[in-house]
Amino acid sequence: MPNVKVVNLIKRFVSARGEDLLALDRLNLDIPDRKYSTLLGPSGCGKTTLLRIIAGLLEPTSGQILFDNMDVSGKMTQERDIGFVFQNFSIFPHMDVWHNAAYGPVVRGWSQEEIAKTVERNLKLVGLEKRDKALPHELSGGMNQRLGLARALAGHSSLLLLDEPLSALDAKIGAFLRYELKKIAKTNHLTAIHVTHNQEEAMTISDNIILISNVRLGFCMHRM
Amino acid sequence: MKNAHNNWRRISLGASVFFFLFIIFLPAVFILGSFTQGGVVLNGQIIRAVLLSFWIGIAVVTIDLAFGLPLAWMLSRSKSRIATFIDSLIDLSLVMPTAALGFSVYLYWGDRGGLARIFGLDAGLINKGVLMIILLHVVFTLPYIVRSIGAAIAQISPSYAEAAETLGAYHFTLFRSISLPLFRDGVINGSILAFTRSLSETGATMMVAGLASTAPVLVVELKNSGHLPQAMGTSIVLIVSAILILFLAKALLGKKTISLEKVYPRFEKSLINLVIPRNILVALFFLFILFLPTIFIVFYNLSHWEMAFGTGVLKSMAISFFIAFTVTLVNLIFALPLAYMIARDQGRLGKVLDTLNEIVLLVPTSALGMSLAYFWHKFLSFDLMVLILTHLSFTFPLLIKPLVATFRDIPPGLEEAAYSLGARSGQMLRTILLPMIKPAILAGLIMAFMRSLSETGATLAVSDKIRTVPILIVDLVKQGQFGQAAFISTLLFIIALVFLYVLKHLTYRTK
Repeated sequence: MPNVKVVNLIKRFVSARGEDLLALDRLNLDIPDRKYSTLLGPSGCGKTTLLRIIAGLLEPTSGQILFDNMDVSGKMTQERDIGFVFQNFSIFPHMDVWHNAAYGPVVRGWSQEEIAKTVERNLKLVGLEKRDKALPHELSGGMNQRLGLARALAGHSSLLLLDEPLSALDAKIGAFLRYELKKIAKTNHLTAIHVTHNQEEAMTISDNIILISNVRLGFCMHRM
Repeated sequence: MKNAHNNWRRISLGASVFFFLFIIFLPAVFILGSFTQGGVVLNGQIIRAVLLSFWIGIAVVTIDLAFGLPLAWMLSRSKSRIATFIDSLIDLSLVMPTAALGFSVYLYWGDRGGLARIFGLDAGLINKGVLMIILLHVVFTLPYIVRSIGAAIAQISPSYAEAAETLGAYHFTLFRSISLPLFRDGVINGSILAFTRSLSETGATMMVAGLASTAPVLVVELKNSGHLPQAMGTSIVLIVSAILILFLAKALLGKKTISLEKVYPRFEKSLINLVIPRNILVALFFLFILFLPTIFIVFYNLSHWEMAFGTGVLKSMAISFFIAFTVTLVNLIFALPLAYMIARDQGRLGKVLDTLNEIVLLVPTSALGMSLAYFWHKFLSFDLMVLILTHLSFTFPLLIKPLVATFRDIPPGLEEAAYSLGARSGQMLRTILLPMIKPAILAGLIMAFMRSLSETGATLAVSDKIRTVPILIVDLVKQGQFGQAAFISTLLFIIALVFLYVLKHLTYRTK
């Protein structure tokens, strides 16, 4: 059940033309435990970069990421114990629904019994328990993203990172899934960090909104 | 608009039918007819040679995959200087004329002036035979594996690997359970190409075979010693094998799903420490097994080069270039409509033509040459003409492949737009299609030209009188005139390098 701290985080990229680009500049942030937080900001402001650095998918140029005051900056993604929901779903196309949802527990070496129990519970949670043999291309976009959520939850991680999870879905399904996401995060006592550029989405879903504008943190807005 | 469209279709169909009837289909039917009439013989020697060829092919593909997989992965994912350097040189053995390549590999491993000199040995490191054949075949088949897998890797979104990482999968688990199944088709395609290429190689193999006799080499030997029915038998076994392999591959490619039942988290996690040694090993393999054997011929003693001109090299060059130019020109005339037809036809005919084209691409050239020569010699006594017809058959698919791919990338809407604006079929072809496919045509033509220029097996199977450059190199090596052979090989290598440069330039422009 971590709270996540970002300390003096700097991220520079070198563009294809060799230019030095500053994506994040001395960012400091404290994301509370068991709350649904949203990183809100316009495209290109560095919010996805920040989320990927928290996940360990990107290395920061300098600065630290702390989970419950423990520095995880040197840890690989696999060792950070997170769940990640991708914008474009990234559901493994060669595996059926069941095997997608089971991937995390399987690669972590859980027993067959534990795997079956967890997958069953999570598929039920997202309403896909009857489609467990279906292949990803047989599912709709909304179903694929629900599977993405079930897959991210299966490892029993308490930190859930969501990178624009609703932006590839149509508005109606997106609006419906917002409530599902929040409900699931709450029932499972998760710390959720949700990246979005959609103000309405952020206002509806969040306990806590973090505004990012142009490489620097703007301000934090807490809701009870 | 409809009429103009139909004209273009009719021309395409006519050209396709003509080509397949007169160049491929009739000779094939004729050969099978001879088989039933007892004009073909199979015996123990033939079966042994075919089995040896298969074993060599399997060993070669195994080595190719063991090193080609990590190499392709490294080249597509790493931006290091070593990766860029290897990437720019990986195709070198592919364009090196095979007889010259075989000779270069022999000098590197088998001559005392080669690798043996570094170790201070009086004799070569490896004798001619099966081991040297395998080492040689790895040199010219590995690029197929690396390029096929590389192309497949490039099409996979990196987000699948990231998703697997966030779920706790370490490198090896991720590679095995996510990446490998996703680029499986590339692995299968590359393996088939490498296997059939190994199965069919004649000219280069003759340089290093010694007493070992692979099936394509046996075809040439049997034919030269006057055992025509036996040579025909070997050819038919090779052709049938190629067709079976193609259908087996198609069946494998059809299967899409895979599940991950077993993982060994601790063991696979421990393999993470092997990434750097693996990269070093792959780089060393590239340097000592692939690159140096390919270019070794350039460093060989080229003194007495002026004596090479006494061997008839100029006449051989003239013949080789004449055949290659003629073949390329005729290819161009027939390939355009056929490729258009395969790309645009949604029905069964397009698929059948596509499959026939693939079969021709996979059939060993000495077997194909043997069969076609057997057929054409019934009607033509002029060897050069038969040779040109034979070269046409194995270079044609090389041109069709990139053209079909390019035509498929062009939306049919563009042609319809041209027709709707009043363009006739000829105008549409000249102003819309040709400018868009020009780079693919040029790239295909260069490949066909180089393949014809460097072909040994088919040429030997057709005629023992015509001495193209690769045949000249084979003869000189047989006579022990290594200096002259090395000089002529280097000359051919330089021509190949120029063509590689042009090809790269054109491919880059296509992208």
